[in-house]
Amino acid sequence: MPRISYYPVEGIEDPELRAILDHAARHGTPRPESQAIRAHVPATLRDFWAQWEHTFRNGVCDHAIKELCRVYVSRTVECLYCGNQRSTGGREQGLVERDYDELLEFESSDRYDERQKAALAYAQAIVWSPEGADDDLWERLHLHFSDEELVELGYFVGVTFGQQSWIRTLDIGHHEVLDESDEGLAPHELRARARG
Amino acid sequence: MTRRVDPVGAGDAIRARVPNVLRTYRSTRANVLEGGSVDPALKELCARFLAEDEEMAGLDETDAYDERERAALDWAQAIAWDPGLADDDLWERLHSNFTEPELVELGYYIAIVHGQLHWLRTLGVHPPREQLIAP
Repeated sequence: MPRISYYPVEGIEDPELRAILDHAARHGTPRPESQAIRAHVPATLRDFWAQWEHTFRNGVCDHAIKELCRVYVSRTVECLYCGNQRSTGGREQGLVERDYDELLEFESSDRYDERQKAALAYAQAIVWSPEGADDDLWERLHLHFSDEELVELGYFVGVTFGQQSWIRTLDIGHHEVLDESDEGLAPHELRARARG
Repeated sequence: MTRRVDPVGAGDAIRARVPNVLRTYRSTRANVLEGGSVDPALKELCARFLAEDEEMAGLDETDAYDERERAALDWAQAIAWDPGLADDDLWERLHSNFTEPELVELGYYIAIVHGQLHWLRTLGVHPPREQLIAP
């Protein structure tokens, strides 16, 4: 049971909010349950849509890098609800499920290139040791990213880190709201559902 | 001397390198961080807690905060540092002191400020107290 009730989103008539919820139901990431919590306050639902649209789905930094950082954050802060979602945009940019397997051991993994590792190290610093972002880290980052990409990537990691830290206190789960599609769910979440 | 125009804070100066980032955050600031229905003083208290303001009274000081403030600060602590603290007792206190829309606005607020403070610290930016409500 969620700690805050799901807003009865089926009754929402505002076309902008309706479109945001329909997108969640059909495409996921975010899935409908977290949006149904935000729907209690239309300003937060609209705001999160704008954050996601401008700094995650689109923007100056490639989406696949941001998707890896999003799931790294999920794994490291243990937000299972968020970590069991996959961005369809990431898949279209070439990410496969195995790319998510070694995120917590990214520095020692040969699955990630130096650019991906630098981005993940940035995400790690934002979550766990912001004061420890030293010259070595910034040198790595500037080697692979423009200042604009670093601003957008860091801002986005801040947003997803904060949202996931909040969501993990809410005890929400998948298939509880507008359960129209499995789009955006991780394969192991789909297998668990199939097993009932 | 009469104030002319305030300079933007360091956070906004950095966000401005990507206009869509600054535009998005300024909308967040207006509509959720500084706007909304939750008392701005309560939001600022949570932001000071997240920023680890050493001038704040500790959560263990029993008379320092009223029930509503204490519930909000305990939730901020759970969100930022230990989700295990968000137990039945805390949720009972949260629902006793806030409506569900207020809880959504407050939780969303804490999430945004927590994330932005962490990111800004990696850049060596520590927003001054007067900017903490929307760093």
